[in-house]
Amino acid sequence: MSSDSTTATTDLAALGRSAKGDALHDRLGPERDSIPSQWSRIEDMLDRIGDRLNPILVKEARQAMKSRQFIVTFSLLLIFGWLWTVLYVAFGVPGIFYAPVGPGVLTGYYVVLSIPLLIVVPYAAFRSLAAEREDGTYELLSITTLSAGQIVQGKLGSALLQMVVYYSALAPCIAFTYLMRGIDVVTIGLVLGYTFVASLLLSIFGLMMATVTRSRHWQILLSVVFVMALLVFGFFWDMGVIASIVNSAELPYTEPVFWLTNLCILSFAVPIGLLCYRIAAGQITFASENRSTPIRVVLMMPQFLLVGWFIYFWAELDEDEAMWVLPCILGIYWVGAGSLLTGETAQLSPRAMRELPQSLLGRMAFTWFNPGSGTGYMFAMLNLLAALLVTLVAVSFGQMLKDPAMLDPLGGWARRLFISLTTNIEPIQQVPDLGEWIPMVVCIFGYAAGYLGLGRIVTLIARRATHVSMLATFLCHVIIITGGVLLPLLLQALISWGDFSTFEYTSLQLTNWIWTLYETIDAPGTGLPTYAWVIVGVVGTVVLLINLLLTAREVEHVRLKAPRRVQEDEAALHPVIAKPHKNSPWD
Amino acid sequence: MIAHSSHPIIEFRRLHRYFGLTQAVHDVSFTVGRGQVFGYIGPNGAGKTTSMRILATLDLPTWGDAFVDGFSCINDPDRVRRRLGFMPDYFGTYSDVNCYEYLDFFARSYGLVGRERHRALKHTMSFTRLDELAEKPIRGLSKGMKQRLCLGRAMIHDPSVLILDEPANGLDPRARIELREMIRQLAADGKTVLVSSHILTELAEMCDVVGIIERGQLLAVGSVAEIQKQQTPHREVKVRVIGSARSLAEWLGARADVSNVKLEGEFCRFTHEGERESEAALLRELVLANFAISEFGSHSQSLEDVFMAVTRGVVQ
Ligand SMILES: Nc1ncnc2c1ncn2[C@@H]1O[C@H](COP(=O)(O)OP(=O)(O)O)[C@@H](O)[C@H]1O
Ligand SMILES: [Mg+2]
Repeated sequence: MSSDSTTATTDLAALGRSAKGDALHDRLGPERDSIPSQWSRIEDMLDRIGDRLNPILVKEARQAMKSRQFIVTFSLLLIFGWLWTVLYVAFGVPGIFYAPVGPGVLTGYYVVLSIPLLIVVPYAAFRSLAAEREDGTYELLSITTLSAGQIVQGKLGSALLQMVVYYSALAPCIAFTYLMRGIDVVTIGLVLGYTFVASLLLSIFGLMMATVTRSRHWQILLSVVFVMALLVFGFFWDMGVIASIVNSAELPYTEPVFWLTNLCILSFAVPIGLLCYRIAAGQITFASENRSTPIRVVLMMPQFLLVGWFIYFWAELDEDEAMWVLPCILGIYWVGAGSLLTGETAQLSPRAMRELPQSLLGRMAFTWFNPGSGTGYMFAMLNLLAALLVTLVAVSFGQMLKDPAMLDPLGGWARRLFISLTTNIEPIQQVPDLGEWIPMVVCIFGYAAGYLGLGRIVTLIARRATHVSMLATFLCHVIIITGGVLLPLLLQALISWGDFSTFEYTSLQLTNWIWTLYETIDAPGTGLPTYAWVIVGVVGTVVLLINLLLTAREVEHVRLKAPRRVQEDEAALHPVIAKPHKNSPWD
Repeated sequence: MIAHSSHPIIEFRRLHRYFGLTQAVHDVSFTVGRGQVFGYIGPNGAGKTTSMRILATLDLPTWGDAFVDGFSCINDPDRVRRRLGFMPDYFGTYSDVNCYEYLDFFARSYGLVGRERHRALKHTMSFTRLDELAEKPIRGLSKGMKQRLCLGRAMIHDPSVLILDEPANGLDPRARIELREMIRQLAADGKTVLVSSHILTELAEMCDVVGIIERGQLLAVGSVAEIQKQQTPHREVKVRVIGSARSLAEWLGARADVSNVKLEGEFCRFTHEGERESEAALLRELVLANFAISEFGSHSQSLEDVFMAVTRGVVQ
């Protein structure tokens, strides 16, 4: 493992050297060329590899070799690593010769490693992109042929490179803790793996933060807030990791559920990272480009994961809480996403309109991915509806497994068929009672569609008078959603002033989604009256339909043909792909 | 192909850019032909940078569009970028980078690989005479060297259009002359150059066409001589006469093509409308009228005067 560090650094050095070598070589002219040596062939090869790498990565690798920040951090890492070793050995003698002190030693190394990984690298990523924007180099970069995505990837790549270098530097020390016994490879691997994922996610998050604002004042404020947040996060993270290192003997490594839980947690890292990446790239993309569709695609990923994992854990662990919590999380997720998506403007640039779906199927399925406030609303609501329906199917299936008599109204054959098809499936014992579960789900959808739709209508009205930004739309939603809770509470408090013994759920609280949902889930006694959830569901659906009508204009957009000049250029650049091919539903 | 000649290489089409109530660019339209050097002239705050940034796909117009080689800067920024090199009025730099690495980075960013990149770097460095400075850290460069490096960066991908925003600003006379030579050389290589300045005289000799802009509006477009003639169709004449200066003034005052007659001792100054031929005819008439002319000189108005005439009169 220790050889990793040397190869990483020599690679970097070689990158720099080969470039200088080329400069020299070019200036010296062809005389040198006539002696083909082993060395120049290696240089050529490195050069060709360098050509394939992201230019930003190459540049930053060269810079890092000369950068004071990197050299200081790297040296401090090594110094503190060695200091800790020396101290532990010096003070631990003679105990360390027979006691399993591995965990103790590892915690020290871990803290030394976690500071560059969890604080320095993400902050450096944040600063490096923010500085480009402040110094104007970002503009120079943005007019090259690099895409916004490549720029973010390059920055992320150089964060990754630094992480690898720091890891490699401390690798010998970590190998040393393994030799001290008391700690197993699994724990070391888990700790390093999770830290790697956290560092990577924090770096992407930092890159996203760097693109949020252009104003220098906000950048400075953001930079202070970000570094504080990193410090706080790093502290709690380290506490958690140290606790699990010390108690590593008690971690249930042999149980599959332990690994599944880990897999579940890690699986969410993918969409979160992708989302931050997409947002960062979207923010710095040229404004006439369609920046919304890629973000919407990524927004769907957590939904699949949530539904999949919750249903799995419900079936596997036989805990019906999972199915009560899932619709709530889905509702919160899509209302959150929707309150931002509804802040988009529906003005599609001619450029974005060149790539619109054209066929009927394509338009039906993909129109909701187009930028726009109305499509954003419908996108969020249709996703929520789909997820809730899948959950409903799962819960009903669970009920039927438990009690096939449910199918009797369809006729005896249905029951027999169902039983014969599901003989091998073990029924889940804890299944939510559909009579209570459905009102809750209806309420969740009704509230989500109703509040989000109402907020959108308000912003549409405001847009007639003035420009409404995404942040303003978001705040508008927050005000309406919290207002819906606070107002009825206040009213009821005023009405029943002085006599709070009768402070109970009444129809006045219909807009109070928190109380209403609480009544559906946990109401003592009879639960929510039927009329309540029916009203919520119906009102939500009506608001949804009104919004659908208001969205008609956004849906009308049709694909524009690229101008002649662009077609000419396209034909000149890619002469072969002249044949129009209809192979995707977008065409 | 015919397609090439059918559209101008640079076109501003009714370009507007407002910042709130500031009309930074207001209805600017003009075209630049292939291989021309276009001088974009206007006082500070006229809207030169704003319109050039739109052309360089760094900003979007409020209304209207700009085109490079027929491609819209709004809808096809990627195609525009491949054909265009932009040198802004600031120097964007990285710490811990030397000149070679700086140019190499931008060459890579423009997608140049392998031999192509080496060739581009070699050519650019020798063109801007940065060869000896290759290993020099950027921080230590002088203003003139920085400008050359900026120019090198703008031309590294061999664009057919170069946009230079006040490149001569803050340069010493020697560096200015060198820069002018480089721009001439670029034009000779077939590149179209759009170069801005707030000083007309600085650009007059190297531009085929100049456009004068003030407060976001384009006031005049044409070659320097055309604008000069259009703005000041008359010439200043100075005559030295022996003896009868007063009667000469009277004689001149009676003519329709002469105005602003002033007496200064032996000298008589006036403005004369017409071409050089009519000026020669006037001199012959003076001699025939028995005035003892000992000196006769004329000059058109200076570029500064022209610039003042254009920029002051129209928008106010
Ligand atoms: N980002 C901006 N925000 C607000 N006003 C701007 C901005 N950029 C330029 N302006 C204004 O637009 C006008 C034109 O500026 P500019 O194009 O930089 O002029 P020039 O380059 O000709 O000196 C000025 O009045 C300037 O204050
Ligand atoms: Mg300017």
